[in-house]
Amino acid sequence: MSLIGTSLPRIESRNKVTGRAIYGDDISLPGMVIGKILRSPYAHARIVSVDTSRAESMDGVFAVVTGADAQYIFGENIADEYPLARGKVRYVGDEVAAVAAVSEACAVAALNAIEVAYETLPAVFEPIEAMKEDAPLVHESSPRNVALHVDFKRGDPEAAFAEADVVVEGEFYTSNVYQGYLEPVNAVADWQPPRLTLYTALQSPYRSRINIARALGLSVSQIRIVCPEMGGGFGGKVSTNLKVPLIAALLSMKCGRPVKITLTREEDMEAGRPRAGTVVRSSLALKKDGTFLAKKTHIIYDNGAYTGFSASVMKTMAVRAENIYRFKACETQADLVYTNKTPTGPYRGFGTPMALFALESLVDMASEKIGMDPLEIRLKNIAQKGDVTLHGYVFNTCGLKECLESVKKMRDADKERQVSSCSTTVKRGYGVALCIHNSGNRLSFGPFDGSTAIVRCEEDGYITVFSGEQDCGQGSDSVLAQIAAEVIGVGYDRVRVLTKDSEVSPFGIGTFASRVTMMGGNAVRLAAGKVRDRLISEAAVMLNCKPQELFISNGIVQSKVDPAKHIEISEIARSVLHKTRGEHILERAVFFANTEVDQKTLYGNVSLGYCFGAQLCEVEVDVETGKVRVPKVYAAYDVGKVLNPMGAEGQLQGGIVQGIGMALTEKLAYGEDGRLQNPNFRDYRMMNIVDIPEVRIEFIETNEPNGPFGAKSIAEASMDPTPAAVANAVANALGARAFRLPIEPEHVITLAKGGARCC
Amino acid sequence: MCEIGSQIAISMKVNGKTYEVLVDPLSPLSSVLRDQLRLTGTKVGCGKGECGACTVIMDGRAVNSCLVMAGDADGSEIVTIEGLASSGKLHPIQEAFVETGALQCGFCTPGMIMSAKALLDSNPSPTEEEIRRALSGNLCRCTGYHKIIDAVRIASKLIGRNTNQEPVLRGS
Ligand code: FES
Ligand code: FES
Repeated sequence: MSLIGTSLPRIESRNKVTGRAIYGDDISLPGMVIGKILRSPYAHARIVSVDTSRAESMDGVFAVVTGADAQYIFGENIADEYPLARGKVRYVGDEVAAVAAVSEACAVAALNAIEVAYETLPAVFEPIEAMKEDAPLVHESSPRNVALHVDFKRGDPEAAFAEADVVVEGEFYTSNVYQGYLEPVNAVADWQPPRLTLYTALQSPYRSRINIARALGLSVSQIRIVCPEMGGGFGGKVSTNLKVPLIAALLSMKCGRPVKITLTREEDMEAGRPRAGTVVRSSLALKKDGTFLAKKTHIIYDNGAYTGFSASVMKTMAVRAENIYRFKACETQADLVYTNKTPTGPYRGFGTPMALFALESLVDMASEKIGMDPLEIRLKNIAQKGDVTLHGYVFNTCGLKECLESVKKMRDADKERQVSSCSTTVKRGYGVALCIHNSGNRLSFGPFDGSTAIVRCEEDGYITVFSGEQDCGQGSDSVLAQIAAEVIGVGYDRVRVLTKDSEVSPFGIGTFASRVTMMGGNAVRLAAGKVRDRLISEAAVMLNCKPQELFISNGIVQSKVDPAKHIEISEIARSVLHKTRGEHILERAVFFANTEVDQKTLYGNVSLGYCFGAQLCEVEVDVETGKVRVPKVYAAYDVGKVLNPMGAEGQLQGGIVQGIGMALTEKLAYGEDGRLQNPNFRDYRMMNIVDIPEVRIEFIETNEPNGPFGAKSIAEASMDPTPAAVANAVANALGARAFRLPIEPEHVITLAKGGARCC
Repeated sequence: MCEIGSQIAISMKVNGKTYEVLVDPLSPLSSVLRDQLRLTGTKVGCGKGECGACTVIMDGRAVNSCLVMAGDADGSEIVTIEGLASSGKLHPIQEAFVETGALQCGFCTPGMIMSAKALLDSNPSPTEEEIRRALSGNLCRCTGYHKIIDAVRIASKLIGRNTNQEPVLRGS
């Protein structure tokens, strides 16, 4: 029986339910000491002096480091930060110094003994303010605080707008949102000159290694990164929040002992790399029959104090979402703007949820304006299979239409659905939103997009997979195991996927851009195919028959012609090992994407396959309390062939619940002094088990020719359209629209007073 | 100077074994379990009683071990995630979590399972409402909770069948 399309538990399940899975903070090395970080209390200040003498002389303290020990500048997109601040601090939480001591209590006492003199500077917190001529500069080298400006046109937007019967426009605001992974960022650094070993769960260990080397003045091969189990990442652990491993490394280099740093939840929220708040000014031009013509957009993106990966996120945000429709022209600008707040970074969706909030709100506004059903207007304009979009995306497969029809059908057929009209205080509404996501993105790593896998058949017939693509908790290792098992013809429980370790794993670009199934999966498919072919050709010799008549099932090579001819793969593997004097059956393969993008105009087919989805949300809005509840979400997705339905469903359920949080409650709130006001799970409200909606899911299966077994991706797309769908549903319920996320109760009450729609 | 708090000796039974440990009475039980007994299955997600990752069962009740002071654990009986499987066989709740895909990154899983165990010990066939209430102190960022509810429901059935001496079936 084929494993593809069956629900399989993840391979590491047993370790996770028994408490045996090892996460970074569980690691303890001989002689290890504890590191703690001293952070800036000011949003913007000059560091006048740092006196560490008292801390250094304390018993139990092994090392103290400051900006003076951190002389190399680094950065994923733009080199604009040091492992510890030098000269200036740029946000509340900026890392100023660190200590390593025998215990946490001792490290805290030592931090308190460090004296830092600051001279405060005027600060700026809102990107629109920051772009003004007279605004304080976060980085002197970036006038008007603009770290990057992107600007492009396709087609003739002026002509398209002139031709339009209707134009709708809006200014859409989103907030900084926290990834909320349950495991705070941590690292253990062990400096044994000339080599540094880092135990830290990074979504992108090899890319991070390049940056870590740069930031420490080491050469890459001096650094070994071992990834323990990752307690959730969602983009927050891609490669940008390297401060923790870097500071642990500096401490270890200074005291010659292993050093562990585990952030507190407050620190993780204050100094993580959350999703950026954005402002999207956008207008959409259409004909009165509903045909979309063109779109103009200006994105202002809150970079925070340092750039990290945000330039890539912003570029993707400027392009991706609108490929779901057949626009003829567009004009887009985007500004990446420094502010004196937490540096921002990638979070599930890579800018797409914010872009879709604006786009899908505009589409609903357009549908209202011309009096056309929101689903109809979408059906009229959506992209289809075979399209080459305005931005150069090529759709080999596209189930958007089927997704849209499916959510409508699910809702209409739902017998349990409340159809009663609203009470006077509780209004019901429905909202829809579509989405697109890539499976790997050519934009995110300059030189290439590809992946390498090594597959080895052990002499007992078990299979070991080596891949450089890290599992961040979403289950990619299990997908790789499933693919290897299917291709070779062994049981799923016979495959092991090796922990990512830069000492032995092949190079991997990393786990983001929903790329692992497509890139890592294809590499494993190819390498496993070579192992299978090798096993069969060896078996043909051993069984004295033709390779063409052989196949492998359940770990046994069998003949289709003569059932008496069969041999266990373990026997073949052993025989090869002995015959070759010690060489395993070991094959490797590289899979690469012949995708392309122009880094300036952002035009090009960035991915080998695009997944699509539609979500239809029901909301109940209490106009007196302002509370919004989402009782139901209908979701239909084209993710290509569904490899593991249970895993895919889990991704969707989790993403949708995160999306509702972003729509309704989640916001990192900064005070007037730039300090984060809600750095804990009590005040930063993520969805709880009592809040969750019923989610109904349907998969529209397409067969993506580039994907392993026809599969595309799912991880990020699950969340992309949810905030937009909820916002559209609230607008539908109230007859008045929110232009700001999250949609908070006070705002709902105001909207309800203004809008007067009853059903 | 680095003050080391005065230490006291406490005795507790953890997963059926009695331990005598020297602890700082004000340090959290989660640290004693993780750092001193090296039972690192109990996770710390916030250290402030806001996420439930550190849930253990103490004298029959699910507690956030990050909020229990070590001194107060003296004389208590504690079950952690490491104490559930017996002689290599998973507990039905663990089995149900695996089979339903109720875990992704797994960081919330030990705490979730311990909360579910405390629930099912006192209420073997809870309603969905009761399941949600019992787990409302446990955050999970990955799963969206749906499969966790499924898992607890299935575990309740598995345990029911077990006590009726019927063979335990996988999933359902
Ligand atoms: S770690 Fe104890 S409740 Fe979060
Ligand atoms: S499985 Fe990751 S937090 Fe629950």
